[in-house]
Amino acid sequence: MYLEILLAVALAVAGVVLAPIYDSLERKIKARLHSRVGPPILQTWYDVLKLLAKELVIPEGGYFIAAIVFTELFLSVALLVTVNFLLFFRSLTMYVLVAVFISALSAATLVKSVAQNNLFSVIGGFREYSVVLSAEPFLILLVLLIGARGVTDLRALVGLAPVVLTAYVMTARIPFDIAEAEPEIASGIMIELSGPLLAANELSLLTRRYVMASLPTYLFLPWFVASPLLRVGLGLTLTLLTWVIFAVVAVLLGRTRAAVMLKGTTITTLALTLLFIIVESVPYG
Amino acid sequence: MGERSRYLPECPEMGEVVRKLTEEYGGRVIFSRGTEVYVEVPRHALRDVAKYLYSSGAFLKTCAAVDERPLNSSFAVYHIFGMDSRGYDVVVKVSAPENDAWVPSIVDVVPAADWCELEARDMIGIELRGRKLVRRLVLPEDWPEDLHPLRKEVPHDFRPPSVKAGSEFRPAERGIPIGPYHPVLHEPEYFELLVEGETVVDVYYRGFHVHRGIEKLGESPRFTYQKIPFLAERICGICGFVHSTCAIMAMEKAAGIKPPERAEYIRTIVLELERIHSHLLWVGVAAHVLGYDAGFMHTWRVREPVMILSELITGSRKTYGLNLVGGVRRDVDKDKVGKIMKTLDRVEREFKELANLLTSVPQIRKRAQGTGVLTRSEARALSVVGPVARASGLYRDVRKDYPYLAYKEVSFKVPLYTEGDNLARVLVRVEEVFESISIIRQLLDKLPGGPVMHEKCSAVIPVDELIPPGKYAVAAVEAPRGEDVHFLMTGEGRPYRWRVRAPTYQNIPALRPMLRGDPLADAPLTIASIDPCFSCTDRALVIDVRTGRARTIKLWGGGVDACRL
Repeated sequence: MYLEILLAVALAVAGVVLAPIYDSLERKIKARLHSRVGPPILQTWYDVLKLLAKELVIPEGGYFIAAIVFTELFLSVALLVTVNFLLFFRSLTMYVLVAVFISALSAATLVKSVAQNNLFSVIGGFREYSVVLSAEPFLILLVLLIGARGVTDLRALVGLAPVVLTAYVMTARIPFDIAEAEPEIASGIMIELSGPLLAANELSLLTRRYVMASLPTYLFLPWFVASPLLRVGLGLTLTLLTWVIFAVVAVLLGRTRAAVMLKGTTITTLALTLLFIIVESVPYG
Repeated sequence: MGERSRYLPECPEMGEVVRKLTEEYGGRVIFSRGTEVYVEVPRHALRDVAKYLYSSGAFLKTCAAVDERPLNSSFAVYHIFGMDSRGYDVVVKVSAPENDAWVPSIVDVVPAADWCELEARDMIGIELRGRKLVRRLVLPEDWPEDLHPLRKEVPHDFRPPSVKAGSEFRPAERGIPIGPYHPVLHEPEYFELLVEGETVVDVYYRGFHVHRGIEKLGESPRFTYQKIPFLAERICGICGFVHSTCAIMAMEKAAGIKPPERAEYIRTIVLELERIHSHLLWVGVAAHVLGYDAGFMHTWRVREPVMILSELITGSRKTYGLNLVGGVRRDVDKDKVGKIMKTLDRVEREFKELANLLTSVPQIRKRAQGTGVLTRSEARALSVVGPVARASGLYRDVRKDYPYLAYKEVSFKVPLYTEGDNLARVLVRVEEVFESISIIRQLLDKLPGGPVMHEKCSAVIPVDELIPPGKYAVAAVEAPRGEDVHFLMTGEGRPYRWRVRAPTYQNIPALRPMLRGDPLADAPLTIASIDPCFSCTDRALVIDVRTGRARTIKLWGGGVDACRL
């Protein structure tokens, strides 16, 4: 029991440290696929530390924005911790907690973007809204379904596809980075942020990406592997693997339009989730 | 009449146009050479002349206002009409006495005259009678009302005090600002997009933020004919060679010099190299705008050898410093020919693969197809040039219409699309890269021998003495972005008036019909699709960019001087 709690907390701490490193790795992979050299493996950490050292500029809109940025960071770390507990404690309460934190985190992001007194940010906020709408409800539904029914045989793996897809959408990578879309709306939801606020924003985004990369593994792995240490090893490895796959996919794609994306993603995730529900509702044995 | 007969055998149709202008509209031929004729018409006949020329298929290349008070106590406006399909220019001059300085506006007859008329008003201070919308185009809002920088009495280095901004036109509604600094515009320009939801309903534009006064400098004592090519190539950071070639062609025409064939071939080769690297640059930027950075990086990787080639031929990556009046400064030897051939093979192979890949990425196709549409009639009315025109079904290419340098000696096709959307503009440019590669190969195959410099142009006799005053010349070069036009009126040792019309100047007004009704997400791609070169467009004025105290553009809280396109 204590070992598990200790492991979960250690994994969460590792996640916060690893997320920026994985991001550097992603930049490195991207660079190699672009035929560039790419940054050193600690580059994102250097960036974050540099930003933290800058003067704090409170954007137009007041301290509320600063508050919400740090709330977002807090929520993403909280989500990371609960997701790691999922690896060891498979009670429905844990799953509900994860679902609540996912939802709260998205809400914080939305509030952050529309609270800024900037047209680009507001446009970004509406775009973010459409991205969240096309994926988040399904992801929450899937988490709760798995939590409520448990995973008893390999048929449950049908649920892996919608989980991976929605998790990818939630990472705000291309083509789902329309809320940021640098060439179109000049970094949209992040436009007013700088210095420590931008660093906090960056850390919460990367932590969220780490959670989304680990979620497919953490939702299904505990039902198949008994040894906690093996779960840790496999969990870490598969999270890294998922992150790398997400990174490569992002390089191969371009950005889409909000309307096109909303339709396509929603239909696909809906279909996959329904398929999962149907498969799961057939009695076992 | 006697003047007419001189060019009648060469261009029979030109004779017909001149007959009509002189006999029906009371015009007078003031100058002619080869495929150019300059006709002065009375003010009251200008609109009819413009109507006649426009309806007989002429494109308005640009107009140039000249302060001729030291010569004949009047101002003049030269409207340069290009008969593209027949390959000759008709320059229509109207004069206005200095105490009655107005000319009729032709913008309702020839919409393409919009910008150059406003520029004439700003720079020379000529009134445009009959125009509905009169506003500042080029001068900043804090510029004194009655100071016109291209008038001869204004010194080239004069810095006027800033005055309180007058009442300038600006849209009542506030739109989404794109610029003056924006990730997709790599130069300062300001677009304001009025949107409903994510759909653009209208566009306002304010440009000319970075003026360098190049036209004024060209006629200042600091510059001579010998130095102007070096000034001209600095008009643009990408297609500098286009501008130096165009200015030099105008000067060579005025001097009556024909550069050696080998020099013409070398110039043509560099022009085509410039087209290749410019188009590759653009394809990369377009991919970046669409969020496809892999395409961006790889296009630029493929482009790099072309830059190294440019350095090999001209001595610098930026193709600067090669061109002189009378020829070029460096020869291309056998060794270089081999290297060029080898590099071209590689670029062709790699870009073929990349272009196939790029045009098959679903996000690129989906977003480029059907967006930013410019119809053929809009393209015709606005006299758009280059790939923008050719993507809208308008067959315009200076290399074919007015063959210059060595373009007569090579065979190539001009890609033409009728869709007028962003995808068509992508495809036109992609195909042009391969055509340019083929042109360079053909030129290298039959590179003639001989000198690369005209024997008259040496250090002993400065070029400045070869060009007599009082001559006119119009030269056009097909730049990567379209037709680049230089108009020259010669003076003593330096131009009396040198007017530069860069391709983007002609294409920006087309953005308004292109952007309206499209999703906001595609607006940056559409703006990028004309391959705008703002440094070329903003070339024409003396402004103190160093102080610029009162000229800060505020995005919020007013002070924005956005103009209707």
